[in-house]
Amino acid sequence: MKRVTLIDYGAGNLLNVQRAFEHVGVRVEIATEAKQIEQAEHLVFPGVGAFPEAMRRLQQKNLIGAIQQAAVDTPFLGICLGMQMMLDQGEEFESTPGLGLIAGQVKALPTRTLDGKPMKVPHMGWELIRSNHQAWSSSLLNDIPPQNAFYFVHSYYADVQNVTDQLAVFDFGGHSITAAIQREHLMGCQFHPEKSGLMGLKVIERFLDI
Amino acid sequence: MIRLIPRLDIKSSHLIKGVKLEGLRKIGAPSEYARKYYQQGADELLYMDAVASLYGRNSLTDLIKETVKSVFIPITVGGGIRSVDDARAILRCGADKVAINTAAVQRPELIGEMAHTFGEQCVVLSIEAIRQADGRWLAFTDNGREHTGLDVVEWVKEAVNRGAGEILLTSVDQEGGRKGYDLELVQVVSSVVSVPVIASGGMGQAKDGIAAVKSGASAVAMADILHYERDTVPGIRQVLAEEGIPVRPQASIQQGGTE
Repeated sequence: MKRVTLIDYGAGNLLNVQRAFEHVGVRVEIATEAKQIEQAEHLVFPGVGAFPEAMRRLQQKNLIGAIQQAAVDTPFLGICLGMQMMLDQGEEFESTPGLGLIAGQVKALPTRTLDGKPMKVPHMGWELIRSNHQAWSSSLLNDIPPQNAFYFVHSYYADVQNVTDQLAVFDFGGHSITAAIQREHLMGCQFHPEKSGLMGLKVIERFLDI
Repeated sequence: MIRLIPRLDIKSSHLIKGVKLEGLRKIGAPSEYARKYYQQGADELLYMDAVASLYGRNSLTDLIKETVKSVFIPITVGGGIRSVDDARAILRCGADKVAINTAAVQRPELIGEMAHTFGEQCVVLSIEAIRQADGRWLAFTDNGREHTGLDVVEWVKEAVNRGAGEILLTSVDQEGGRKGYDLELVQVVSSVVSVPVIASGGMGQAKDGIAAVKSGASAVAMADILHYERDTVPGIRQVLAEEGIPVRPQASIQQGGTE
């Protein structure tokens, strides 16, 4: 049986992510210490809440080094805030360094559409995602058809520096916002695969095959 | 995309359905219905503890834990949630959002406290609206039995200012009547707030959903029409899609869209 390691640093509820992985038939190990992260075969990094607070917790638990080390060669999936924390820096409330696994910054979602109408933030709901600069074949989204929908809840987004890292985007009032990132074995999704029905479970299954 | 949300009202571990939120009839085991609607492609589920306010607490924790093992869409839970701690307990079971009514009426500060703790997107204000002779709507609690004296339009404005991220707007007059939503209510409320409004109460046929969306609803709650199998989630979805309303594509729901 495959094994996946879920990083628990006290930011948000892991239960739903854990259930989704269990549902597709893998053993889920909850990691609270560096040693467990070092031994991971597949690492999942969820996150709910605010960027600075989540980074502080990682620091308090002394997990930053272990995560960065493991990310050198372990398949890694950041979810929502977890994906945002993979970047260099967060701009939520205050400038906070991230894990620096993917070049880019985390910024507040635009509050107006391209033609100036007010947008609702936090952004919450189902969106169709599409490929931007990177094809999906053999990526995290390999099994996702053009007709799709994923569930999002967030107020910030990943502004990635290299467009080749941007695996998917969704339309937010005319703005193309990062929906998923990938560089080799480093992956992240802004949406919640654990809340996106069968389509989300497909992303989870696919991650385990990488 | 417009969300289709099966609403499951629950009393003592039974799925129930009433008319105007009263005269409740038992229908079956809620977790089975939840799973069925998830498999049909519901975009979200709504669990309401119909008797929670009698006991002052929500009794759905076991049901939520059971549901999230096999249902992978957002779940909103309401009924008897009185404090930040109550909400936390519900969220820890796997719920994504909590709906509050009575406690918010009694102490509106709770809305802000919950929004600050869990984020606005987590806080759903539940409104039970009854139309008055003068054309206004007043907000009620306890399944439309308890009068609050609050004008619905003023109350939603205040609640959103305090941090409510979404409005569950139930028309007690229309509820269980199968004659469609109170469209005027939906229109008035969604025009005064920027947050999503879930129209609830009265869906008799799929096209009632179209009317609710055209009146400004971001989501439609459906109960009786699904519980009594007068229609299905994909059936309703198709009717909305044919009208040009943006909904999750059916292809993305069945078998993940690959078949």
